[in-house]
Amino acid sequence: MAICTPGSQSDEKETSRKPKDTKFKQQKLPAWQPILTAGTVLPAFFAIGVAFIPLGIALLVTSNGVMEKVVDYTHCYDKYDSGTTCASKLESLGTNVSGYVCYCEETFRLDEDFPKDVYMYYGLSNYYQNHRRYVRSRDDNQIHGDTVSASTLNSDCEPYKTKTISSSDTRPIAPCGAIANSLFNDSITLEFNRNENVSLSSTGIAWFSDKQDKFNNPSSWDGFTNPPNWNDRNVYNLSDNVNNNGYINEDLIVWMRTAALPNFRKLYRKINHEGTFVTGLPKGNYTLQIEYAYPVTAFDGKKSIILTNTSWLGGKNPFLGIAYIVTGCLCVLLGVVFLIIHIKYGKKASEMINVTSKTPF
Amino acid sequence: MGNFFDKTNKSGPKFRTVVPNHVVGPDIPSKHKNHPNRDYRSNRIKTTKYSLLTFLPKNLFEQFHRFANLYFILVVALNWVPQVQAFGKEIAMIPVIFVLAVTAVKDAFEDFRRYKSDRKINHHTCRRYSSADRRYVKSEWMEVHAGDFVHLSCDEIIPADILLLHSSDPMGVCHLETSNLDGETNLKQRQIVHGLKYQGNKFAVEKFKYNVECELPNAEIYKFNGFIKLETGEKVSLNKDNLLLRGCTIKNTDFVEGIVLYAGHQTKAMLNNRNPRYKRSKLERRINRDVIYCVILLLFLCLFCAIASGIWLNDFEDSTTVLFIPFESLEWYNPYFQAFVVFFTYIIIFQTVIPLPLYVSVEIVKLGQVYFINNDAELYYEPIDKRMECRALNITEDLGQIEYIFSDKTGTLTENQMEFKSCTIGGTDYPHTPEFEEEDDFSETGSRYSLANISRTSSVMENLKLEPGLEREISRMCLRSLNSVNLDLPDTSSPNSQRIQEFFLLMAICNTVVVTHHAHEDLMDESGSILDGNFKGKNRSQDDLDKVSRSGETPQKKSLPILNIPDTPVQRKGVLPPLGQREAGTPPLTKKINGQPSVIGNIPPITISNSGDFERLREFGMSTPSEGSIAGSSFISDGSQQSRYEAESPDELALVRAACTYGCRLMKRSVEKVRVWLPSEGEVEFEVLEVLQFDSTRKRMSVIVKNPNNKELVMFTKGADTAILGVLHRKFKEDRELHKMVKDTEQHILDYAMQGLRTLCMAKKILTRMEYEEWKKKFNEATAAMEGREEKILQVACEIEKDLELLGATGIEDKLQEGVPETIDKLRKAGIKVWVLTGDKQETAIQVAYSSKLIGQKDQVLIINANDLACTKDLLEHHMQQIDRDTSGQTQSSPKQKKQEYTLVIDGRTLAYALHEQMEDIFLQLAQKCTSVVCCRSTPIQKGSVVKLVRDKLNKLTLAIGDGANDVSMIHVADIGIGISGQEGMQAVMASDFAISRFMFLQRLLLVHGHWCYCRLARFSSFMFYKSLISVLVMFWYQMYSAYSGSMQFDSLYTMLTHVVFCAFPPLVNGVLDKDLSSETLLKFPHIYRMGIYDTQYTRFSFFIALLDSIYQSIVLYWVAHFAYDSEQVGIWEFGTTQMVALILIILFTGAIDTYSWIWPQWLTMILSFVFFWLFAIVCHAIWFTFDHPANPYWVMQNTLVKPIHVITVVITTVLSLLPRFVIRIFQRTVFPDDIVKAQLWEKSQHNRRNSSHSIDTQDTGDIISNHESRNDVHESRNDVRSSETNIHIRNGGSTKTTTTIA
Repeated sequence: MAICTPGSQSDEKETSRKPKDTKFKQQKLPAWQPILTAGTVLPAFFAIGVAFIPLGIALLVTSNGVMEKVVDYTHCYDKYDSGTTCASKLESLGTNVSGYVCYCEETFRLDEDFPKDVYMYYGLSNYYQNHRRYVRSRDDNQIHGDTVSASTLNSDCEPYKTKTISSSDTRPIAPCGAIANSLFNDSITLEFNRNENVSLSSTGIAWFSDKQDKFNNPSSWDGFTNPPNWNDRNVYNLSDNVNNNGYINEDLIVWMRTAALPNFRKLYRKINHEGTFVTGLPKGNYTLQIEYAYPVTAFDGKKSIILTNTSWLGGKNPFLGIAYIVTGCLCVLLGVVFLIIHIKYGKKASEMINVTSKTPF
Repeated sequence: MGNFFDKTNKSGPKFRTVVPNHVVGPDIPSKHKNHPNRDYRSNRIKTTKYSLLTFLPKNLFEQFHRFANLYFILVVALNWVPQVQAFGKEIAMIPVIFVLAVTAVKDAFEDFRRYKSDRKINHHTCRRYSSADRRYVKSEWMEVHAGDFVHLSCDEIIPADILLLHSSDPMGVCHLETSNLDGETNLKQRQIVHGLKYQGNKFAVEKFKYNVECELPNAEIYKFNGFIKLETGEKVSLNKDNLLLRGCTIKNTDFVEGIVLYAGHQTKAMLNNRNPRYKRSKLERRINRDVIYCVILLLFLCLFCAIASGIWLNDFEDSTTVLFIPFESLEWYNPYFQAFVVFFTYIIIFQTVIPLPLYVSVEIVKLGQVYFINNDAELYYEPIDKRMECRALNITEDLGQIEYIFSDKTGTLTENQMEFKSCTIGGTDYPHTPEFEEEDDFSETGSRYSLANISRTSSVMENLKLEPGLEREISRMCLRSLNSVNLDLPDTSSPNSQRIQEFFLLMAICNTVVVTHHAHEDLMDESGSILDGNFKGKNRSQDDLDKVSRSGETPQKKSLPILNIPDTPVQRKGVLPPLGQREAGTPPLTKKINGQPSVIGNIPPITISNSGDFERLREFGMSTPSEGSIAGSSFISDGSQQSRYEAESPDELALVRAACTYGCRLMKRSVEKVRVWLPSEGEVEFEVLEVLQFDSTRKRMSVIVKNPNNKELVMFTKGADTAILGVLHRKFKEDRELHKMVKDTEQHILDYAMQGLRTLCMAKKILTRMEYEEWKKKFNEATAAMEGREEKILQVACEIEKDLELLGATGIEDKLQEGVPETIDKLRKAGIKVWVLTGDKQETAIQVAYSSKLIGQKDQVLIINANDLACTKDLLEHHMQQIDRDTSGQTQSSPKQKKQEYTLVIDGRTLAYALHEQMEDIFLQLAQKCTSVVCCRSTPIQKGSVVKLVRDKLNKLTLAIGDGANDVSMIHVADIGIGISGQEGMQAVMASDFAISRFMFLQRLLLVHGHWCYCRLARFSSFMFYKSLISVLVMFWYQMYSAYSGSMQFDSLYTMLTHVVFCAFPPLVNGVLDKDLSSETLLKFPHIYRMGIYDTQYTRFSFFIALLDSIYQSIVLYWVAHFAYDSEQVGIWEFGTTQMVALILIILFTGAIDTYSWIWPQWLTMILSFVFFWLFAIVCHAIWFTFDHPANPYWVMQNTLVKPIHVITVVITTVLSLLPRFVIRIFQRTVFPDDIVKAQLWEKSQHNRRNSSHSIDTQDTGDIISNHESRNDVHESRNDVRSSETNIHIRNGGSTKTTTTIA
């Protein structure tokens, strides 16, 4: 009656739908399973503490070693019209400010020698170079030296994209956009003890990559006009130095790299360490000769000149050092807290294990 | 086209007319306007959604229907408004395009798979009648049209819905296996259309010239109406028994022929193809809620910034003179206008607050989870070669949050493997105490189930220990017949013997069991040419035993694949030698019988046991029969080795086999005749006059037969006790003795039910010819009715099924599936409430509930049986009060004592009252206090409404599990429907979200995979929120220093790529692979599952915790860099790059803190993600390109990296940001460890112990094993435990036992 199933066993196995018994498919891959409890992470906290505190101290020492002199010249007095500040002078001119230059002096004293290398920065505050429209208001192709016309210019450059010279002649602006238009145009020189000019270098202040590749002069300047705020200056006569003129003018390049925050500083000049200043800036009295042309009062801004020598870390800023020390201390403190918790509760955990293994759930 | 035609005729008769295509002739193509069948669809199917051309527009159109996609498209569109524009237009589209592309690829892939399967199906071949060639030719399925004739052989799949016109079977019967359609593996009988006259009385295609009128295509598989009008005007009605459905397989028939009525998409099978429905998981609903928080946050941020930007602008006395505010026209300097425009700009900038890739990644994670669930080797069930099947792809995490399980009993908790256990005849109980416990052999391996799909075609013998009393009775009958004692001398036997014989006769014939003998061969080859011209005629003459014996000699191979099954456990295990050897080893007893020519005509030989046979029987482990017994005799006559029973339900099979064992053997069944071997009379052929099929309303089936000896008309009825005892003859109430018999029988039935047996009542009725004729007329009318046929038949059937004479009752055991008690136990410990909803008797249900540990030994059982609403209410309230009293008393006296647990038992009628609107609240309150609920005698609709009630009123996640068609409604209603791919077919599976093959897999599916999926997805989603929040907030802080102008410190390319590339993969991998605990631990501590029920991993606060952490981290991230670069000359892009590096690191490390286990894919993606970002930034910044970026990022990364301040800032930012989350996690895990941590510690301690001792702690790992043993104990305690020695004997001798005889 009963007849044995003929399908040989091997046949069935070949076509079996049994899932493959691999460690991956069965989710049994060897795993590292750290159980994060106070006991296991204690060393990590102490390790972080041990690493961070000395590092923080080193950072703080480095930062403290940096010399810095900030000279705010926003409200400096007109050299030729004592009693009025250049700021108020520019303000009184209102929108016709372009082209007007007010001359003023700021004298300050360095109490200590500034070892080399010393840099001169200009600082602007309350200046929103990171405003979305401002940031976008440029044409990278144009400053790259590519051929652009009024129509191919980035439309974000508006309203500084084209300028109507006469009713029949509308020309593209070179360089277009609000950033270029608002180029910082104060000229500053530094005198030591009122008699010796400190030699300043206006090259080598921009990123090498910018100067080399990102900014290039076009084959011809014809057909372009200058930004409205530049008065009669043109981009091709920003400097006498051929290698620092046009789009590759480093002042322009530095300005075009828009600052991240509303209070920012930008590298203005490098001190040429020669003569008296071969080892740096000796202590003594200094005078800044300023051609004051950049209005900042409209937005309650401030202008300053910063003389500083930088460390490997950068400028004078104790924040990182303090942050490291505080974090390091916090970790050590937490380590201690966890040690206590571990002593108090760690035992409990082991008891708990015993309970679980014996009690049937 | 067909549809159009059908619709226009809606007002007219709702019928379609199919004209045979050979009548139309070969010249007219099937779509020609003169062709009568032109409007019916061809058999070509197309289930794809798209074609190559329509894919893009159609798919995009569908995708744009999703809200999230629409939102992001709108944002992209907003970006094109020049004044608003915040990002580069092209860059802003990257994420949306990415998301759309991923989804489109997924859809395309799915559609391609459908296309491939369609093509495969369309190119199947079959034999279609070609009127040009005037013979059957091989053609592809898609070429078949309505009106075509098709020839099908045994085991061939039916290509379309075909009206059966001719069958090789002389009675015009054909059998179908419908498993492709409804999954039911039993065979269904179909009949040819009777009443058609052909010239020469022989069917041939050319002779069939009738038009077939039939219903319009519909999806009802079990209904079909139609007729054929003869030349005489007479109508031959057609019903579902004449229709062969597409997708089914022809069985047990050499060949059939028929005409195609419905083809392709109009077949019932195709109309039933429904797409899986879309369910949204609980976690996903939570996610959606949190997305709304995100929208609120977005609006808040945008509004805040917009107002602030207005104020900022307003502060300038004359903003036109301010150099850094470059507006195109004067009106733009208006603060109000600015605020308005900037608002939209901010919507674009902050768009990622709503995590764009969230939905796509959640789907990808779930796909990954489904992959691993499908591939779990422990959810694979070897005996039927089935693995776990996830049909729904998007609710995996719901598996981890189930609080209520609604389970069917039969086939779900139990095997649906029926075993005849005991019977009561005429008020006398014949309990079949088991001689030995053989079941345990295979219940361990589960191999018994391996027969699942073929069990209904089992061989004739039941492994049954005969009851000595019955045995004696029957042997007496046999002796009489053997000694040719006068057959009509019943008085010499005991008064009961007549009843006993009738009882077994009923068991043998009152069913739809088919006996098969031979292999099926079709002489037509594949291309349609007939190999043997005499073939048809030969078949005709084979309607006798010659055929049987002849075919017995035919090679077995042909029939083997279909249905032959070894019957003994040993054979099932495949221990037996292969076929040939076994044949050789057939015991001499059989040979002897075969060798012996029949003694008296067709009556099989009977030999009185001799000592030799006795010895053999001993070996088999059977008890030596008592004196006078006929044990050892054989009732087997003809080539019985080839006989197999094929039944529609396992119950029937069990009964027939039991009857056979008692010598009352069903030998052959045809439509009109049934041949039985009776102990007292030998072989008898009854004429079958009528079969009243079983239906769920009557709950009984009847057979009316004519006894050839005394020409008596007898109706045998079997059915549920309620369905039989209610319609007994009056005398069973009046006659005292008979009344006592009824009472005794009722008592026995109750006893059986208490043992957990399924009971059936047997009754008969002697009909007078007059009575029958009269009724037959009505019945014919009813069957011929075109409308309301079912109801009419039901009514007529009830008319004759009354005044029955009770014969007795049977108890059939349905064994519990292996692993059920411990699974239920685990699920209960996991905090899941298990409800069993069954159609069985209350006593049976309670018994099964006990044995499956649904009711614990100490549980209090509350039984609610009421006859009306008020009574139900009283009972419910009474029980409520009692529980309240108990619990209050308990808390006062001994709070430490284990809580008393309650089980509610409610029967179907009372349930109907309890589900009444006024009652449902009380009912639910009570049910909530009970750990488990048993609903017995419940209907499928009730099952569905109970689930719906709990789901909607309690708002809890529900899971319904079942295996049969009656569970479909609850499977549909429940949050998760699980189908058991078992015996009762695929309907449950088709409706389900997950299909498993055993109930016990539920524990792994829920406790392990459910937990994993839930925890993974919960962590994944809160991480996704955190990720998008932090990257937006860090930009938000920057707004304070960039004039609220919508400036971003990040390159917009990075902002867009962060979520789709840089930080996308580690969370995805974690979502699929991170494993908090091993599966062993999760199964050992089922209570861990509760964290899913209580939703501890993704709570109402998860979003706000993510928000808080991201606020803190973004503050650190922003201001550390802010102060660090305070006295530096720093450009906006260097500043942003430093923050970006820190941001990526922080996101990755935050993900790492919440990772439980680290395997190589996690390490890999984690490290690669950062390295990729870093290299991408370097490479990207080294290439000169002006791809709509506010400023060319040329060389920014390099210039940033060379300054030490970058690294120093990144390190301190990362450490400081991660500190709180890390510290809080450690604090939680140390001081308030949750279950996961406890179990992890336990795991580690186990691991350490194992490492140190190098030995496995058996007590811990042996948990499952011991459970298994205890399950056997339960079983054994009910039966007598046999010595192991006997067991061994059975194993060795079992094979021979079944081939010989009954004991």
